[in-house]
Amino acid sequence: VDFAPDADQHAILDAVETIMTRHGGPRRMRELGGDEPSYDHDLHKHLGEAGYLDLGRATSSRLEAALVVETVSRRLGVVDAGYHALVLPTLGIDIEGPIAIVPGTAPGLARFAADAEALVTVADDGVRLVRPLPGRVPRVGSRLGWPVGDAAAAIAAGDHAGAPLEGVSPDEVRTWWRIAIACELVGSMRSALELTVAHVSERHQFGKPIGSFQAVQHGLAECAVAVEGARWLAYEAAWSGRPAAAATALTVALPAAARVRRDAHQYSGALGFTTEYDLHLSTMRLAALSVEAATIGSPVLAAANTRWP
Amino acid sequence: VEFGWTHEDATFRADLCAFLDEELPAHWHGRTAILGSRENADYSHRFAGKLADRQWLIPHWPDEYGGSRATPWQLAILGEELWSRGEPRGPQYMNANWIGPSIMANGTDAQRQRYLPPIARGCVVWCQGFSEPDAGSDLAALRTEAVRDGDEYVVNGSKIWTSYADIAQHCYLLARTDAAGSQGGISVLLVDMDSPGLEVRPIRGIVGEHSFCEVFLTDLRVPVANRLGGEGEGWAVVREALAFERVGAPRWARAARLLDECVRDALAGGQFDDPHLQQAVGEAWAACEAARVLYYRVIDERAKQIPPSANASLARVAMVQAERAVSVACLALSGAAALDYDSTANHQLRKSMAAGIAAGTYEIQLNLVSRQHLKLPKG
Repeated sequence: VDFAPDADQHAILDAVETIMTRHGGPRRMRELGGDEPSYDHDLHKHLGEAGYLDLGRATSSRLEAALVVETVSRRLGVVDAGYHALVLPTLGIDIEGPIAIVPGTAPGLARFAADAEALVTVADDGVRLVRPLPGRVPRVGSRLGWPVGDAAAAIAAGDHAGAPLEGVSPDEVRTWWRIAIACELVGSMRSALELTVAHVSERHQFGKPIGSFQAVQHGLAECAVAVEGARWLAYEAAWSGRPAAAATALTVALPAAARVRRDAHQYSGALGFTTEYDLHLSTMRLAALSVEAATIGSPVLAAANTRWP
Repeated sequence: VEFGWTHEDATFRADLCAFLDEELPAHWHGRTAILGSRENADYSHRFAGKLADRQWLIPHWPDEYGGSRATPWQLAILGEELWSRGEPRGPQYMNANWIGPSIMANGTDAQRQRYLPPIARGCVVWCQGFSEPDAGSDLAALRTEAVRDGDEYVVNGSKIWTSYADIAQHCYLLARTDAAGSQGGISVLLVDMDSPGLEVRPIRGIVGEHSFCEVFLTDLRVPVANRLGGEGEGWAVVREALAFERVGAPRWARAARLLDECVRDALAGGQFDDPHLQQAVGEAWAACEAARVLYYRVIDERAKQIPPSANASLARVAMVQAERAVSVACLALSGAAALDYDSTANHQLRKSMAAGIAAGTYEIQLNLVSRQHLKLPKG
């Protein structure tokens, strides 16, 4: 067990931070449309060319891929890093552009559905690939920080053989889907918490910083505990790849996300309510990711039922 | 970052578990064991001796005091496996983890020779005389005074919520040697519990027959030679001692183990189909896992000899949350069976109620997280 990054991990994290400083962050997200962004093909290209979207292809470096996904999310990248770096490797196929992942039984609105080169449907009877016809998939405005499209329409209009991908286990895909969302939630939570801590340290009322009031301190301290628990469980799940670990990480991350979203806005007051302030760029994403997590099936029940079969 | 165990650590755990599975008798109910109860004190005494024989009582101590160079991870494994089985060492885990090391670091040769061998053999109980009626979380406000009279101190005052005082042979006592100072005027005195002027009165508590006491000190005479560290330097001595233990007992391990046992009972009785129950259990399990990973992060720091940080407080907060979540889940799983005092759920309810108070309250931990981890401004 080692909680510090080794030399390779340091190098990866530094390089991804550099890419995100240059090509990500709140300013870039605003260029792309703010809480209603279009897909960042430019960032996808930079991360892809440097190999960071393919890190998860070697099972031995799934943890490194998780660190990348968390960093990209923390720096507000509008790309499919979670799917690409953590879920795609379980499918055994190569796809260069963005992908979307949806439940096979009731595909609905989904992240990247209108941008995806390939749509992955996950059902108990198999995992299938759909190649949507470019420009035929309706976009849907969600204002939850991600480009959203209608996956049902994409599948109806798409070109697919109907046969499941051979040798691909739906449960394994769900496991990595959960890990990907857990990592993305952690990144967004850290971003929201960081901004809120900075705000309450500077904002003065009653002659002192509001962050010096114990009510605010204790609320944020509980948020920090929730975020750190979710963070290390997400990394551990990526390290082990175990279904129970993935479900557990998400079981911790989901209530943590709800808590952070609520408290970050509460302590940011009316400022956090304005779109000119950056907070909503990360907090609205927390809502979208939580909705998506629920479409995989309850992680709590999955955790209980994998732990006690 | 990686989460695997070394071969040595995995072997250490396997050997320890094999010993515990064989050694712990049927009458030792790990789920419901109460540390320091009369019934268990005798057993703990014998058990600690057996651990000592296998070099598992003080494995992390230096060779010269009988240790066996165990790594911080092995010490953590020891704590995890023993605490989760109801801590059969009884109160002796405190001796091994911080009272002994504190005497090693600050004691005179005479003090080390007198106090360390019995701890190493597992045949002595210590209590810690810290809290007072008006000094709990604000420990530096303690008022028990020790006035120098020749080569003795005359001690007057009282201590409260002192665990194991009724079965202990020694007390690690904090007293004020300078009435004017606050933190600066405190000294540590190593007191024999059978000294004249020391009276122990048990307090009944909701945790059951756990020995929980008030200690009254009336003209108690303590030789100056029994002072640990310099006069007025007690605060630094105790802070150093407790820094090691700031993360506290691995409460998550015991909570997780008995959640597991409760679920297995429910499964055996065909009572685990209700999704509401599964929900409560899944949440409790996840809370234990979050506490575990944050606890391991503290052990990792210790193993790397990084000075204790706010990570210990993060872990403590998560452990309290885990204890509480497990208590909710066990009550839900047990149903009316929880009305039995001897049921696991009934015990867990009580234990979880102490989790946020003992050894630094939940609120104090949150203060530390906000100041040291989040760097929020002081009020």
